[in-house]
Amino acid sequence: MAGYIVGRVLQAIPVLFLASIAVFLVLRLVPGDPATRLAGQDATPAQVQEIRKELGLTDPLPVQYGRWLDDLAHGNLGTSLSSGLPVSHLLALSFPPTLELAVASYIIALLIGIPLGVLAGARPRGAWDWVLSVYSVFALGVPHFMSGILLLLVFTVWLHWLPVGGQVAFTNSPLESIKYLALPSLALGAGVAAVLARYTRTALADVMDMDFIRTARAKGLEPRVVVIRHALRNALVPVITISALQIGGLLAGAIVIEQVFTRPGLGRLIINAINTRDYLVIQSTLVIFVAIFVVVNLLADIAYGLADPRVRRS
Amino acid sequence: MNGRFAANRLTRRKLLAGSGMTLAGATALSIVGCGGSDNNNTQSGSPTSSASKSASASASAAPKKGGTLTAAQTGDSSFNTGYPFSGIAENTYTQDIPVEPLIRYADSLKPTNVLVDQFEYSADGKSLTARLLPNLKFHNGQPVTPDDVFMGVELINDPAKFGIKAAFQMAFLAKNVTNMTAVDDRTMTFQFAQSLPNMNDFFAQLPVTQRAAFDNLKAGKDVQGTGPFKFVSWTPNVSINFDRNPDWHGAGTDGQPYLDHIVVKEFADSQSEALAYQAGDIDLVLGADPTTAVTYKDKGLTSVAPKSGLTYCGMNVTNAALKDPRVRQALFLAVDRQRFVTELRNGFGNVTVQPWPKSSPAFDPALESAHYDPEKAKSLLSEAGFTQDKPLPLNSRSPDYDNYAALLKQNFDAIGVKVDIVPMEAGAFTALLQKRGFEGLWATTHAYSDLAPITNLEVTFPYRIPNISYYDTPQYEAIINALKALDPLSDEAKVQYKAFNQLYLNDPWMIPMFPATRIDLIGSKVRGYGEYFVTPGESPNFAKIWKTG
Repeated sequence: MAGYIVGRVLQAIPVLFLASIAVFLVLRLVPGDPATRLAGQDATPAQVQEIRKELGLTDPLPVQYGRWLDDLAHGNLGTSLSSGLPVSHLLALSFPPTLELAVASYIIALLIGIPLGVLAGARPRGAWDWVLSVYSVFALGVPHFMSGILLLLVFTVWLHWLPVGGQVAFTNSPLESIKYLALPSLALGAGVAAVLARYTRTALADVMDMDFIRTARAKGLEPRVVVIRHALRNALVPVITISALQIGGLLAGAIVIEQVFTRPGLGRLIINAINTRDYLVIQSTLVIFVAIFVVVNLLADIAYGLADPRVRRS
Repeated sequence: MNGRFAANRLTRRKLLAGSGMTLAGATALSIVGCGGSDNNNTQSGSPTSSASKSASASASAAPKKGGTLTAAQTGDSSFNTGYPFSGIAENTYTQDIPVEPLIRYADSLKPTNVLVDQFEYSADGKSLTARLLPNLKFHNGQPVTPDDVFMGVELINDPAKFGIKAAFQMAFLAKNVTNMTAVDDRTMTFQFAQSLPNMNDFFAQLPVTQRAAFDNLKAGKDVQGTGPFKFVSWTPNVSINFDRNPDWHGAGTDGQPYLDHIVVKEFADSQSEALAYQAGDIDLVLGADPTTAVTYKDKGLTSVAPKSGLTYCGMNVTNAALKDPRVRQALFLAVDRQRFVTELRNGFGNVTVQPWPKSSPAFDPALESAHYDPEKAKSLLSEAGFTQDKPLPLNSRSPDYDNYAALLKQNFDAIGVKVDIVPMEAGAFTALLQKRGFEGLWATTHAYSDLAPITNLEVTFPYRIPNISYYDTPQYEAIINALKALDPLSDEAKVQYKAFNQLYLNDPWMIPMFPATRIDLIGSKVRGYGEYFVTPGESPNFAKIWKTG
């Protein structure tokens, strides 16, 4: 197992390296740069060029990339061109709201997805299966931002039940934090719940046809015991993997949802940075996103290896 | 988690059992979460009532002191890009609230003293003596000195010296300052290389901040000014907080400012901002989308700031299809400005073909009309023998200008001129603008027409020489050169303004669409709103704003 884990970790290193190159190059391909923005609309080309030179943007790309990588290796993420604050400080401010959102959404996804999948999978083509189908169509068909806006309209604009946007740290005031988290996490978690529910339903339905389930039923066990104690435990193996992979999707979705709900997280940070061409903030944030994806995938691989000996042997 | 994995040699059985525990825990947390949500029923934001009374109209009631004004802005503030000496949209509130200039234009180009009790040019216009108000102090209690005023001039002239990477639109006026001397603790003199008629524009936009606190200002930790509210804190992407300045020099007899606090919440975009306003979380939105604002127009909850410029369609006069002035005139006449104002601006603003606001000496009431004549446009095209082998590109900043570009295309199509809309992301559009890289047409906005007209003609991209349209005729140059030597308010200058306005119609290089005016949304509890200063940036007078309830 140790060899398997080491192998997976080593595979992650080139992925991160290639991602850093991709992030760096894609940014340089987009028209407009920080100097364009800093100079302002009425600046002369000479003024823009002067600022570009001061920012080191006239250096060859490999030199710029090497400089960034060197700084990263020394733990220096640089300074935001727009705010003047250290990028590490901005990330420290922005990460907790995103983490809270991702965790809360994940909890909602598990709470809706797994039970709904179990109910639907236990009796394929039954009433709950139909409910799942309808729910999936809506949850997967309506984009996050759309469901977010609809939730805002209903619960804040019309009913005035919940705050329209912002964030309170969970550690400062759990109850207040939940008020601010409720709608964005529901908007984000609903789609993931549909994915989990469908996987759970399929996996469970397959298991329910197996001989050992028939044996359990023949023994006279209650249907609930058959499903939960025997079928679900076997059906959960692929669901665990999918659940882990969905964390990456949640982080990506958080970028959009944070915009809609004005949460000051990584999504807001990155969108603002893109608008202002704040290269160092974009690069660092995207690399962190990639790292999270890589780590989550790595953990999913490891979990799968642990759960299924055939995987680690292969 | 990793540590636990390593210590216990997790087996498949344990993993499955663990996942069950996780599920159970998650369920428990969710129940707690749902309970919390239900409790929120009592914690509603202040609902927006259908106020039928105009916020400004009720300003006649006795102002109530205290309270917090919650305002909204899109985007995050930026303190190290030349603030407070460069105006960027994200810094609107920080520009307007804590800092003040020596003088300002209140409602005309005749300056009023703000931080000075003496502001006098020498007879030859080559020097200025200014004296600060007695006992003028920054928010931290430190006295304002001439050296603090000088810092702004120094920074605009040499931003790198202050660790700033930016270009300043007023730099050409700052460069005219050759020497600055502190005569005493309050009095200062400025020597100029030449007598320029628009130096007031410079000083009316030169805020005073404390030199000693500038490093903290750049870091967004502290903004020292003299304004009616003092900067308290900034949390990136969250909010900026201001508290009442109890020692404000402009307090007057009724103890302005009236509010105790101003909180500026930072939103991702105008849609989120609008939702927060609708939910009653926000008292003030500077620069609302017209489609949102129109809902509140009849309720008296909107206010339109004075015009600062023009939203226009530029023309590259070197483009073969646009070289003939008759073709450009035809395009000018093809634009249905009434539709722009009525349909796309939802009735905010007025139909106009001039950049000048009413406060400008160049303003001509006759130009507050549509100048829409598609038939004459067609005949001009025919007279010019206009033909096209390919459509003209119409670059537009997307998504803000998509609708405007679509209506322009429709108008141009109607007279037989084919255009292709080229939507561009804002950064890419600005890059092309700075390079003077538009080949045919483009839609954008310029400001600065609220200052001395010569400043607009010297600074902004569509007018200055060289400009984005590559427009440069002897007559145009003559007008600019004449204005450089004339008092902006003089009769001689008005002759030149008339000549400019005529040239603007007869040999156009840009096509006005509608006036650049900011639409403000005001909460139903806000009173005292409606007084604007021309400088800085059509700022509302925050000192006079108060809240009921």
